[in-house]
Amino acid sequence: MRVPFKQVPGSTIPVLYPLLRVAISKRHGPKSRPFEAMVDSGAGDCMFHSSIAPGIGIKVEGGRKETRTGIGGTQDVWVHPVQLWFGADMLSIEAAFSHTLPVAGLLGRMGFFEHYKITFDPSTHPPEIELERIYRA
Amino acid sequence: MEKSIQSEGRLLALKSAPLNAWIALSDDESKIVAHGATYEEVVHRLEEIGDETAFLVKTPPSWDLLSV
Repeated sequence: MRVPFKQVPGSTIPVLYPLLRVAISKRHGPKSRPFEAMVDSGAGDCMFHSSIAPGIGIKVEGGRKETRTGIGGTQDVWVHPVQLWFGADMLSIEAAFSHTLPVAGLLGRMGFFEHYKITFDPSTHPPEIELERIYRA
Repeated sequence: MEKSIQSEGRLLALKSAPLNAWIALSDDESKIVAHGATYEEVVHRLEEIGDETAFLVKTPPSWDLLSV
């Protein structure tokens, strides 16, 4: 599957990011509405904004408390098992929920990159991200 | 689902969106159909207007380059 990068306004000129429409759910619970999440090869795991959690039946601070350190410093997160829905795929993953994430979601190495062979292709206009599902025995 | 960059309509919609908020974009990404301070507020608004195709975007505090 190839997906074009999406434009967002920049501070001076528009910027292209690898953004995918995904949804999440608690096991056997209702799915969230689809939302845009950023494919982030520098993120250790998948992280979602805590605002999504109550609507799918997750009490954020009832999860396993951990910290994540990024460019903006260190923040508390709470980890929960969730199902990540992308296209026809459903992935059972552990995801961190953050009160301060500036976007709705980050798709990182654990939980997302481990399930796809991912190529960022800047040779097209707009650039595209190519995802090939990996199935392990 | 995601065939093209939908540049102009998407950009215009995002430029008009409140910052550090949640918005719902139409499936073709050309317009904002709901917005609010939280994910739940926007989902509730979508249910009120009977929209089943919009998707949500969280706008950042500013449109500076993101380094998360």
